[in-house]
Parts: sequence; structure tokens; C-alpha cells
Amino acid sequence: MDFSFNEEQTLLEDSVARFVQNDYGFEDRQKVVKSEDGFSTEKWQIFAELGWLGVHFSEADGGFGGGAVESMLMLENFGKGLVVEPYLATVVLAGGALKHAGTAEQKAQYLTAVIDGSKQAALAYAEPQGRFNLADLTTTAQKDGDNYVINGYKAVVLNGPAADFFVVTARTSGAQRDEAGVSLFIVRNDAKGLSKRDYPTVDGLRASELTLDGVTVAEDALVGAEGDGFKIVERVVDDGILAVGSEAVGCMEVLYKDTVEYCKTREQFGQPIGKFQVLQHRMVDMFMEHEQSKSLMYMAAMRMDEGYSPEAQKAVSAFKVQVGKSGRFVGQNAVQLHGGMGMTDELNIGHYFKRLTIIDTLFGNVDFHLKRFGRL
Amino acid sequence: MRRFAKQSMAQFSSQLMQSFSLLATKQTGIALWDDPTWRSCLLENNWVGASWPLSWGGPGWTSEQKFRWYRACHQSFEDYVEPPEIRDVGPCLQRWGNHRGRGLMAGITSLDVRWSLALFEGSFTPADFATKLASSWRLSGSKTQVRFALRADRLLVVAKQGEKFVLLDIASDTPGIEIAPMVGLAGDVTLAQIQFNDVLVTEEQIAGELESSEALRQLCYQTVSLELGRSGAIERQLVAARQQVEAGVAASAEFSSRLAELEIALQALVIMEKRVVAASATDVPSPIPWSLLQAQGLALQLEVGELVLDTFGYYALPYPDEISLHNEGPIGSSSGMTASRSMLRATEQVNYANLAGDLYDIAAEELLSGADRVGMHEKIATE
Repeated sequence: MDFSFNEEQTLLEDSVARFVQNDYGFEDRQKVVKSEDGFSTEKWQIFAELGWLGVHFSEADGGFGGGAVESMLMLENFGKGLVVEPYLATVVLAGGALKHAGTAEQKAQYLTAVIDGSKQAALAYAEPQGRFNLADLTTTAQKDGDNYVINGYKAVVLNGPAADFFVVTARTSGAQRDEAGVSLFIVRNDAKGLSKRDYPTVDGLRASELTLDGVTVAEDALVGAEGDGFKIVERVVDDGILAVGSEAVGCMEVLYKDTVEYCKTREQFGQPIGKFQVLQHRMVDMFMEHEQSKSLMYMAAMRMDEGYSPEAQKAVSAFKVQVGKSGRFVGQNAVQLHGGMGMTDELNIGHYFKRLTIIDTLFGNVDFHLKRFGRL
Repeated sequence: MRRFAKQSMAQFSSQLMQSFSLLATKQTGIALWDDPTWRSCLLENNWVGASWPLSWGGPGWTSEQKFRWYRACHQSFEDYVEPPEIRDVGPCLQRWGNHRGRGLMAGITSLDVRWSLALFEGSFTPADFATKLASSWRLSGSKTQVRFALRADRLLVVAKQGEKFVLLDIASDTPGIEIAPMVGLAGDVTLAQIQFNDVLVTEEQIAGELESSEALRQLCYQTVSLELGRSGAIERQLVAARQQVEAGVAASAEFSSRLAELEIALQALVIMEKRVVAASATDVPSPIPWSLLQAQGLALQLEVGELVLDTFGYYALPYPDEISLHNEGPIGSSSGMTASRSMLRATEQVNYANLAGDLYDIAAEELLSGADRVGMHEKIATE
């Protein structure tokens, strides 16, 4: 029953919190979002210099050996600042796949570059027909001598426009929805036969649709054992859920606190609107939703650090359910309590709400994870 | 700590405790904490005043130990496990009792005397307090929602004397006292109304003094506050719901989904309770106002109660009191009959918990004022 952080974790949290507070103002963030890249390469280099891009990886791989708790602390603070730099896509997802299943050569070639900030990456796992089923794949990889030939289509690949390489899921055997037969491959962004359609997402990030038309990769591009990639993707996505969920908790904290402050100062009928009982109760509910999410975030992080097991998966799904429900409640009420201002692009409130809405959909929504929780 | 948890859980799961559990749900009119064997058990295990510090005569447990004990109790029993002299009267005398009042603690900790705290009135505004001790040492007025007054040997009465509030130690059979039962939603009689008609008291019966209306407010909060570990009660109810769903009686996607949602909400509540406990152990501000934690727990208890009732369908309808009066077996399943009772009791608990002020209003006051949240609720819960 110890919820305190050790010295290293506290230092990490302080460092990220300070950066977000002092160097990640909302107006600057908006300029970056509207830029061509959609994120700041300068800030990405700062992340690398501060060692944040290596927190997720083991010391043997050149990282700092952080676990789920460290990831939670970083992402919660990223959420407070609506950080748009592609930490999730590059470090947690694509980097995570290599961390869990990459060969020593793959780690040396790609992870080292991720950690020093010189390369960006993306995980291409979703397909239009699959919804949230990670095993539902029509993309295939067929053995051709010492190579694999990949054909198919990948949807909403986060950080697709900036990625130097992709970790792509493809079916090497089995039927369309079989868990067995899923394999992972590293595909460079200049691979012949790979085409992209880049676009912004609702929350200001960037994504791509990938078409793989006879993309040929060598055997050494295979990540993990052939046909055994489902477990890797499932693990990486659960890491991703913890990351975006933590981000959502940070978003909710800002929304709740900003709303309380606004209601204390905004006057109607000669008094602050925060004096109205019905609004007070709504704010109490917002606070409670945030605290419930935060509590389940702690539980999920602790379970993941204890080892990846059905209990950990269950805790992650419980967290995702709560974040989906709470995020919508807190976001919608923050917008409503801010009145007309809540809808405008100039105020940060709507941007947090949009991020929370996207997070609910990422990696499976409330319904999906409620079923998964019941099943596990 | 783990050894302690195992020990307490093992004791609760023993045969002896199971018999108490049965006893608690039987229609004997005896609450668990009023059963002589259970009272002996409390004494023998040094569980009297489990939340009290050593200086009060309690075991002096850490916040975590208290949490585990209460949670284990709630997991095992529907009834309160501590008698009202321990829940209500002892803490009141310890905080506001005078020399004589504290002298009464010996009888309380030995469980020799049955007490009840007569505190609430129709209006909870201190200025409207109508139970008054006149200069002639005559006590007049009325009290309502007095918990377990019908079984009390003695009453600790809060009365207004001039501008101050005093605590009076009065035998319940003193001439001029009329105690009338208030039948609750579940058919239980746990509350009573008391009328004081010129009851003669002496100066020696003054057992303490509340120095201000703020102290009176604190006493009200203290009396209605629930201890940490309420999640144990919800867990017990959820087990019943899960059994119903898994047994196929109420197997449906709808029930499975509701069950999963409630299990997740329960997990969140457990972690929130643990965060409050952990904060109190390290002397840092509590992350969550106690009032809100109570409100959340009670709301969840009601939701689980609704789910349990729904899973039983029509067999939640039979009224257990009437059926047991005729010594007949259960109609449908006995669990269905107790489910409706649990739901009604939970509703009563919500009502009682809000007596000292709406929990949401209290939480809003704490949150909006930005006050340090080591408020009175946390102190009550964790001390």
C-alpha cells in the first residue's frame, strides 16, 4: 500500500513537469500543431538530451531501465501540456515492439537511433476491417527465398508522416482473424512499393494510411518469431494503453482545475457561478472521475511492472474503460461549464476534450475493453 | 503486515465467524454487535475500538491495519461490527468529555454498558437546537434518528445549556424519557425518537462540553462518518451478483456488462481508499476528501444493490420479515429475499450519512475553497 515514488522517479516527474509548465505554453503548442511537421524537432532533441527517449528501454539496450511507472509519470505530465511530439508512436509502440522482440542487431540499428532522437518510427497494426481486433489482418507477408513480400493496407498509422521506419503487422499463415500466424516486420519509409497518404487527426497529431504493394524485406526485418507476433502486438498495445491513459489523466486534471478556477471568477446574477449548487456538484463529479481514473492508472502501472500477465491485462482494460468514460464526462462538462468560450479554438479546453475523445477510441473503446475485462 | 492481513482474514473465515454471519441475518432481532459471543470475541482479540489509539484504550493500530480489519469485517458481515458505544459514544467522550466523562470509558471499553448517542434534532442548525437544559436542571426537548436507542442502558445526550452545548449521561429509564421506535425501510428498528419531558438531572451528570457550534458540527460529521474499508461490503454484494450471473439465472450480455462496470468501479474505490490510508500513514494531505470517498462508496453500494436485485427478478419481491414470522422456508431463494433487504439498508445508510450535511455539498466546499484536505473527515477516518 505504498503509492510514493522513489528518488529517480520523483526526479523524472519533476523534470517533465517543469518542462511542460515552463517550455510548453499553449500558444506555442498551437503554432507547432499548425506547422508542416505537426511537432517540434527542437523539442524532440531536447527530449533526447534529457534522456526521456531512453526511459522506456533497458540499460542493456542503451536506455535507463524504466518501467510502467516511469512511463505513467512522463505521459501524465505530457497530457497536462497536450504534448504533440510523437513519443507514443516512436518510443512506446514501434520502439516497444523492438524492445520486447527485436534482435540485438535490430536494437543496435534502430533502438539506438530512437533513443538518441535521430530516427522516428511508427507501428502499423490497424486495418480498416479489423476495428480493435489486433489479429484481424488482410495484409500478408509471403516468403520468397530469403525475403518476405508484403502486400496490404494499414490504417491510421500514428506518426506515419515523420516515421523513418515502420513496424508492420502482417499475416504469414492462418485465417484472417487467427492469433497464430501474425508476424512483425521492419519496413523502412523509403521501401519500394510503400506509399503513404498523410493527414492530420482531430487532436492535432499526424497519421498516415499505408499501402504496401509488393514491399520486399529481408529475413532480418522479421521482429520476433514468424507467426508469433500477436503476443508482441498485444503487449505493446497494452503499454500504449497505459501511456495514453496516463496522458488522459493529465488532461482531466487540467480540465477539472481550469474549470474550478473559471467558475470561481465567472459571474452571473451578481455572484460567481461556482456558488451554484448544481455546478458545484458537477465539479465534484469531475474531480471524482479524475481520481477514479488516476487510481486505476496506479493499479495498471503496478500490475504491468509486476509482470505481463492476465491480471495486468485486466488492470489495463479496467483503466481504459474508466479513462474512456471519465474522459468524456470531464471533457464535456468542462466545455459546458466554460459556456461559449469552451467551444472556441483559442481556449485550451476544447483541445483537451478532443484529445480525450481520440484517446477513448485509440486501442479499443469502452465497450471493447469492458468485454475484454469480463473475458479475462 | 501481510501476516496481520492473513491472520485477520483467517479468523473471519473460520467456522466461528461463519456462524456469526448466519446469526446476523437471522430474524432474531439481535444485531451482530449485540450478540454476547461476538462481544466476547471483540474483547478477547483486543478488537474493541479497532480504530482507536492506545490512549483511548484501542489497539493502536496503524492506518493500514485498521483499513484491513474494517474491510475484512465488511467483506464478512452485513451488520455493523462495532456496538454504538464504540462507534458513537466513546469517540465523543474522548474528544469532548470532561474528567467524569472520560471516567465512563472503562465501562465502554469493557462493553459492560450499552450506550446510545442522542444527538440529532429536526433542524441541524446549532442555533435551532431545541433540547435544552434549564437552570432548574430540567431537560426538555426531543431527539430524532437516535441510533440503537431501544437497547441502550444509558444515553449520552447533547443539550443546549445557555450558549454552550453539554453532554449529559442519563439512564434510559429515567422518568420523563419516552423512546419510540422508528421503523426503517428494511423493516428494522435501528433508529428511535426520544422525548425528554422535564427530565431531572444533576450537575454530576454533565460528562463533557462542546465549546462551540463548530465542535457540534464536528460531532455530527463524526457520528455519521463511515469507516474506511466500505469497499469490503460492496465486494461482498458483487460476489452474490457474480454468482447469480454465472449460475445462469441471470446470464445475459447486459448483466455481464453491468457487472464488469461495477467491478471496475469497485477496483477504483479500493485504490482510492488505499491512497487515503497511505497518505495518512505518511502525514501528507489526503488526495481525496473523505466526504467524497463516502459518497462514492455509498453510491456504488446502491448501484450494486440494484444489480443484485435485478438478477433475482421476481424473487426479490417476497418480504422476509413476514415470511419468517410464520416460520416458513424462503420463497424462491433466501438470497433473493436478503438482496432486497440489503438494498433497502443501503438506502437507509445513504440517508443517515447525509444527516450532517449533504456529502456532495461538503466535498464541494472543500474542493472549491482549495482548503488543505487534511480536514476533519480524514482525521475521523484515520485516527
